[in-house]
Amino acid sequence: MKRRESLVASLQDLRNSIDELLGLNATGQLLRLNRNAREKAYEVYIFSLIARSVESLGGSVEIHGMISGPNPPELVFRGGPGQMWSTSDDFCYLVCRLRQKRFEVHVSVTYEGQSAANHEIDVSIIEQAHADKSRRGALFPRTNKNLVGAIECKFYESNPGVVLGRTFVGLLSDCTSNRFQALAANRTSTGLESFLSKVNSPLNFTDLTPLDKKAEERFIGTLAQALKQWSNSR
Amino acid sequence: MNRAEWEAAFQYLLGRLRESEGMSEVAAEIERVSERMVVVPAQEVPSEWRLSKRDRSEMGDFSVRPRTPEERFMLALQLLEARAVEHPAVVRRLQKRLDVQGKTIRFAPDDTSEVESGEDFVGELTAGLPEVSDMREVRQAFQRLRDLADEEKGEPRGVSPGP
Repeated sequence: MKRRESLVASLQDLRNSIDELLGLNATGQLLRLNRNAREKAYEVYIFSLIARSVESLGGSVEIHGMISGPNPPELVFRGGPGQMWSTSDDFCYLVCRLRQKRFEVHVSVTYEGQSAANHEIDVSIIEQAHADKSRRGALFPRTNKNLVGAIECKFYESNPGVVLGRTFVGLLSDCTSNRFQALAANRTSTGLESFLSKVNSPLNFTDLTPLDKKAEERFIGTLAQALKQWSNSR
Repeated sequence: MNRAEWEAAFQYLLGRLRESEGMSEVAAEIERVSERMVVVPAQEVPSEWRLSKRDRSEMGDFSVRPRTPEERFMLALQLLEARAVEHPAVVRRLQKRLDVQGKTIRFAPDDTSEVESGEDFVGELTAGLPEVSDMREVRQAFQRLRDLADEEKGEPRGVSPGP
């Protein structure tokens, strides 16, 4: 009987706690936000972690606007796939320098694969000379050796399936071997982990959220290692 | 808690969302996601959910079953956490990492693009986000709910996501 009463109390506690959470105005505001805003914010979050990774190696990072140049007055990102050369708004990107290497970090830019098919890469790291060439000639940047890193980003609200992993592995098969190929998501699942544990799969950061400091450090550290090796190469 | 009580808790959460202004879409999304089958080792599936011989050959050692009420409740919490706790944390962290707390961050369409991904977003990143202190209150209220649910599941209390 006591056990029964305690369970009834537990259910009531849960109800009270639900009431408390949903009774806050701010909860309503947050729950009503646009899903696509969450997806795009997550891409910019990964972009910001790359900046941190470069700085951790002693490299320099500067935000540039396509129109305004260094240190733009506001940060504008593409809300969907776009072109490296686009000046339809002051789209920003990172200009980085690490030893003798100059490179850039972009969000939602379209690349031309080895098969000549186009691919949007959520967050990409590209050699600056190649990015300049793309901008000057309004040419798609290529997924060749100039593409230093490609990161697929996904902000999940529940446990992910393996579809995302399959799609990204498909994209990578249309790239030459890049230094850093990774899948970043805020959630994982047994199926996705198992799929990504196979040979030739991208690096797996499917636990990457600001709520998990260790996961952030793992991403920053792994990327730093890849960039360090690359910056030491000729 | 038993199945019936978890179901009662799940239905209570859905009911509260449906009656709150503008949140029926959240309730519908939770229902949609929670109706998805869960993949489990074949030997864990009760006989009434055994797959046909043809499906078994495709699924190998795995099978599918509907979610239990407890799993549906915990899945609902995942969705609430993603929207009410993780997303604001993502925004705050990227502002800090890029050292642009005072600047507007917005998303714009790229007019040179002929592709629409279906996931396009146009607008200010912080539009609709509550004040930091209000978001902290939400995070704390969510953590209390999560702790209670974890206790009922018999799991240790979660670690607070921090400031």
